[in-house]
Amino acid sequence: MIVDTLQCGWETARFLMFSNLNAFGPLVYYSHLIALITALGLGLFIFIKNRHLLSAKLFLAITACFGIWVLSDLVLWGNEKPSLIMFFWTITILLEPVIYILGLYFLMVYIRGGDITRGTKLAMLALLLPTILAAPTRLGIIGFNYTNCDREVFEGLAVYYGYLVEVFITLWAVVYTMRAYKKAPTDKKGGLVWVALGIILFFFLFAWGNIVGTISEDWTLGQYGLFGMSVLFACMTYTMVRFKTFDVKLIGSQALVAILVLVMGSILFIRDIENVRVVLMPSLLLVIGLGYFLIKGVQREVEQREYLEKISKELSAANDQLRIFDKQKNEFLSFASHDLKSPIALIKQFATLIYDGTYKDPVKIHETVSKIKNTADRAVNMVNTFLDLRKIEEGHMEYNFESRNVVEFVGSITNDFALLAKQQKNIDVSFASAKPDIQATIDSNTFRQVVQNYLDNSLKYTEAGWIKVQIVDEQKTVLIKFSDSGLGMDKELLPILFGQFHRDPGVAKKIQGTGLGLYIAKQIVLAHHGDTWAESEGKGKGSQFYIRLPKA
Amino acid sequence: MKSLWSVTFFDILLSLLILSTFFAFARYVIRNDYIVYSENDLVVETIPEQIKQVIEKGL
Repeated sequence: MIVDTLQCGWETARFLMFSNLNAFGPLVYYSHLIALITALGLGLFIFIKNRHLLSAKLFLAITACFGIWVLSDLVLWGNEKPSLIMFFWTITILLEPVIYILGLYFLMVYIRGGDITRGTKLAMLALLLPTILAAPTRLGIIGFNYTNCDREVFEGLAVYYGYLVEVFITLWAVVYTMRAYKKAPTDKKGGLVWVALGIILFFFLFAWGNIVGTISEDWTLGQYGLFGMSVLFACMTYTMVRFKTFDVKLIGSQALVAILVLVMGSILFIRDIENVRVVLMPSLLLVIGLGYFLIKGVQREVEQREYLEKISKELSAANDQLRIFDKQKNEFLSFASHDLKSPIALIKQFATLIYDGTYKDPVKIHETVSKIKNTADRAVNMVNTFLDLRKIEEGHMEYNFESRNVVEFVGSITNDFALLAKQQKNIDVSFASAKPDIQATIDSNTFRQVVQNYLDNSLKYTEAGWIKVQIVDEQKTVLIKFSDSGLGMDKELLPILFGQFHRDPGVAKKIQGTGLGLYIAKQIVLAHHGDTWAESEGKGKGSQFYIRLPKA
Repeated sequence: MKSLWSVTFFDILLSLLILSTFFAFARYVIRNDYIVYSENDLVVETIPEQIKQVIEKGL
């Protein structure tokens, strides 16, 4: 064998057994295995718990690449075959910049809360391309070096390019984090710092081994960098539990304790360092004991925080609801003090004119009494509207549903209304239906109120022109359409039109109304299992109101 | 479109890595195609046949 020829005295690696005769002895195994178990354990845990998250997928990709890197590193330092050393060395050269790029990608996704731009991905691929293309050529590894039995290779240009990429990515991550930190809201800053610190620390520690090894040609020193990986993953675990980066809750701390116990326990069974057992046994017991309290502590903290978050959300929702109620109360008070007071004041004024003898002419008196009646009717209508509102809000509105011919029902109301419209404003009201009989389940009283309300509105907001009522027979539903050539409204108003006290501010002062009619109409139509909405092309372009009811 | 692109990014990356790994494996493990440096940084062998000679000499 080549090894014997060169008198290096290397021993073939026996994996999962510790050999003193390989390149660095047990140190290689400790540094690699601890990092490997921690990384793969956490990567898998997080991925299983958050499969749908891009950041969880990226974290798994990082840990998988890192795992392959660590295994390749372990194989090349514990191997005697130059061909295998060359091959696995190439794998490490390939994977190093990939791990850095994925790390940066992960950091960016965490900070942005979503995927990165296509341009950034292209830049990342462009940075990786030279390494990937050059790795299996002599630009990757120049050749195998037997000179000092160091079991090493002469690295080529691609390797140094890879180091440059690593430095560049680390700087990119630092600058990106600093910029994001300035813009981040205060409550997000803590999580951001921990995740960024974990990633950047990972970059430094990972580069440490290679850069120190390449420059000093002392690869033993480089192995200490891998010990730092456990620090990184502890950092990440803390972030996950404390800031809920992922939905792992307790698993992070449990995994950390399990890994610590596993690693310390495994060291106990290594025969070559028997003396260490005296120190290791109490340490292991201490880790188990403290680990138990750590898990319990984290569990309590997570539960408390979840409880507080839940209460805080409920309080916030209740507070929002209170604000809405308060606004409605103020609107009601303003309505009661103004809109209800004015008809009563008018009635009083008219009555005074008759009472104090100002009007003596019977014709004038009759005219004034008629005005008093009309004003009182208006006031009674307003009060009725409020009573309807209260009934709807309290769920006490009574409905007597029965199957009726909607065409006949709406047609009859429209025909009566047409006379009034012609008389009051000389507006033509037309009615059309494709079929003479369409049955739907309705409550005559309340549904009449809805149809009447839409017709009244059309008349109120139309100064001249026409009002059309159409009934369209649909497959399972019937559509009633009220259109007019009136004032119309801005499109922004359409979504809030059916709310309480919402009126077009442009016409609210000119045209009387409570701002409750459409709200009540919508609630009644919803009770009929139907839907209602409005459309308008804009001011001055008329409006259309629709009611869709299920057929009987 | 966005998710399609993110799949494409990983696809491209993975394909390139697999290709590169395959070439490295073919070159170093299957063909034994590499230079070996001995004492004083002198090139003692290049490509397969010479490597075999060194191995045979050693044995």
